[in-house]
Amino acid sequence: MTTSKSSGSSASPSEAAERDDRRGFLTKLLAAVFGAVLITVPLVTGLMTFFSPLRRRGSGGSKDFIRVAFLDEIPLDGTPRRFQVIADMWDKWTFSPQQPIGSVFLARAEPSTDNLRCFNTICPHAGCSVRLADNGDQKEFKCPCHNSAFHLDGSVIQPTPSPRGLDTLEVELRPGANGRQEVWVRYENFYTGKAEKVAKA
Amino acid sequence: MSKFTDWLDHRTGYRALLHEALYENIPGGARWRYVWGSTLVFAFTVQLITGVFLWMAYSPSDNTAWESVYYIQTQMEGGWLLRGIHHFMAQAMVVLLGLHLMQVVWDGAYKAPREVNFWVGLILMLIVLGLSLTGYLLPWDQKGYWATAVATNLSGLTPAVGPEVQTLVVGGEKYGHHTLTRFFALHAGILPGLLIALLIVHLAVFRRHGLHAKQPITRPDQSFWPDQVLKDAIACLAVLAVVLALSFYFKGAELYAPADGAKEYSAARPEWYFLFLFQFLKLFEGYGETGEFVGAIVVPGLVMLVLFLMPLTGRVKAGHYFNVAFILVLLGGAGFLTYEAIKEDMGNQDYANAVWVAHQNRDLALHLAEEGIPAQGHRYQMRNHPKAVALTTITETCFACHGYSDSQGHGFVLGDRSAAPNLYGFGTREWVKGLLDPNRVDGPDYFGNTALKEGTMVSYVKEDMQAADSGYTPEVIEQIAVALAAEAGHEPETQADKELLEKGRAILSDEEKCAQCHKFHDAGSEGSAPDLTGWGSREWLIGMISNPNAERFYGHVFSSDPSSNQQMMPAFGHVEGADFPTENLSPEVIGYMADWLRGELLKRPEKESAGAAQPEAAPAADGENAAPAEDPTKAN
Repeated sequence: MTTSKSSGSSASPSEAAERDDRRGFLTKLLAAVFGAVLITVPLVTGLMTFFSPLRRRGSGGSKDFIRVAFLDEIPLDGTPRRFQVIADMWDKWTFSPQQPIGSVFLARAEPSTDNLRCFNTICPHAGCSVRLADNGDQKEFKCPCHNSAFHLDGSVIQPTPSPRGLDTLEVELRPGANGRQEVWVRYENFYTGKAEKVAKA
Repeated sequence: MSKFTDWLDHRTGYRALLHEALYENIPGGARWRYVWGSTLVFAFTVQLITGVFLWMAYSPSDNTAWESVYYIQTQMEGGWLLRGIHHFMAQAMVVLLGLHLMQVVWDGAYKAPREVNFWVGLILMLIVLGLSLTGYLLPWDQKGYWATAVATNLSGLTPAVGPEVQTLVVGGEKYGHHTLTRFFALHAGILPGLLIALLIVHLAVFRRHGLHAKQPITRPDQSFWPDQVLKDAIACLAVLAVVLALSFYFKGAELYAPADGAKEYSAARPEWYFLFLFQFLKLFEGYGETGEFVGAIVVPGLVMLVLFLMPLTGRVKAGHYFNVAFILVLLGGAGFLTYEAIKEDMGNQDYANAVWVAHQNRDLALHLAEEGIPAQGHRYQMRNHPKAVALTTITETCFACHGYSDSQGHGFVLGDRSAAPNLYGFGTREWVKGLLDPNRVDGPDYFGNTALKEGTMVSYVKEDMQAADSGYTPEVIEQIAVALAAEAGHEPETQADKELLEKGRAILSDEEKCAQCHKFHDAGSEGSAPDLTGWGSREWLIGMISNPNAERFYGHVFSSDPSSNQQMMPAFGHVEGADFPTENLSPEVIGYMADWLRGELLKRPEKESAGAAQPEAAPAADGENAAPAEDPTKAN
């Protein structure tokens, strides 16, 4: 508050005036400091709550493998199929047991083999939902938002706005009931728009 | 720098504005008595800041309002403090309003030419009271719900259009989503908007007429900055300190169990600063609808009219004296009525019991919320979770006959109104010692108000045990108490107690003594008195609650003469072919009732989620909510 100088009584040379001046300065200092404290307390308290999401781990995905499908549900000819990922979900206070938390494409890398590929359906460009498109003679993954396109092996089809291919997920086969093989996926989400695949915490 | 400020001043003229704002002349210099208006502006500023941050986390709907406030209070960093500051600053604001009003009237600052500003001030006061009223509902807990239900029902007394007014306020026929959205829009939008607009008018008009200086002026003038600002800031600091102290002491603002209009709730009271109105309405009891109308609408309306007319009545000296007297009587009367309301509640055991039950429900609600809240909202849990059913059964059914209170009168006190033993401390040494006390065994805490008052146990304690050669010395009583408490799971800890334990067990097994009637492990037999094997343990309690008429418990009393209905307690479990009342509660609920009696309902043993209605809440994989922050609202 530099303007306060203009009203000071520094013109008077007497000692009394100087004392007054010092007292005036102290008053101004205290008033300013106290005023700052008054506003800081509620503001900082509010900002603490505002920033609290940064100090918690988010819920980008489960760190455990989740059973997503049976092996015999995946087409033998290598066509990808979309599956929902079902898991317990928390949204702040709400706990929803066994809810869809996302989806994945599962496909056989070569026809009739058990060698599986798994992609997160979220586009690495800007996070839209990628779909399987039939492009006349061949199938490819296509994003409806900015036309990112991907080969069935997940690699980008140029030209594309996507900085990287579809995000692969770890997949595991586990023996299930009645001799059916179960497909388990470690479902994760990743930050979009970056060349590097970085998992959300 | 100065070049920049010169440029800015040329474009905006901010220096003149700042000068205008800061260098208001204060005739006679800065005074403490001028601080009240500034403290109110400060309080409102704090409410704006904290309110906006609360807004960012609040979700106004029937099944998310309580839940989001719960999340703010227990899960967000600093959330409890944010709520605390907002909650207590709101109350501070009401107090400061009273002081500001009193000071303005006392000093005659409402008189010409400041009439308009006085009227604006009164409207501001009504807006602040409206903010209090609407804000109280928003957490959507039992306390706010029932208090607001009363207030909105009173709005239905408005002449001619009462029901319509009420429907508009509530947003429909009954309380729900739109009650919250409407109250929230009022609380966070309309009322603060009006308040800001009128506050600007209030301050502008205040500056136009200048400060109403205290006469006579004996000291030189000073300017607002910095002398009065410093005094104002110190006063605001004091207000903030009080608010912070209250917030820390109470660990934020209280949050009761979620609103449930279908649940018994007898602890409904308005916030303390509306208690005088609540008490005032009692004066009109017995005059029916007219009385209620006069008390709730006509009289408060007339009071506001007198306040609004003050600048006119104050033109003559007598009028001013009348106004001062009126404001003193008004505030004094409100204070007296508040005191009366509190005094009445302090002497009202039913109210104290209701508050105690409300706190039990609150603790359970917060406990259950840690496991996660279903999408239906937490009220669903509080109605259906087996733990909640257990607590409701205890407070609404068991407590119809049993009390649950310690010797200091804390808890659910029935006293002489009880029809069954006091359950507080059942399973402890103290409880056993009371039972074996000839002065208490036929008192209200034990068999005094039951058919068993004339029973064998009472006469045994009062006569046989008192015989000089009975051998029941105080040491022996202590031994029995230690041994029985050990059956309930309170194992003795000291070596001395362990010695008592063996002796106590010997007496309990002595077929000349306790085992004469009671079974105790291998000694005695069932059929003449309750089995003391495992007495007070979870398993024993489950058996007793499920079917007190089993041979192991009080079957002997029941079967001796079914028509006399001596054994009044219903069987809470399912009893095949029962010819007595049964409640058919599930074993799980009865298990939780036993846990509650043993003070273990809110503990988290490993086995807890086994068989619970909720799927195992295991959010560890996901991190969020996995380890609920220490719950500050738990502290009483």
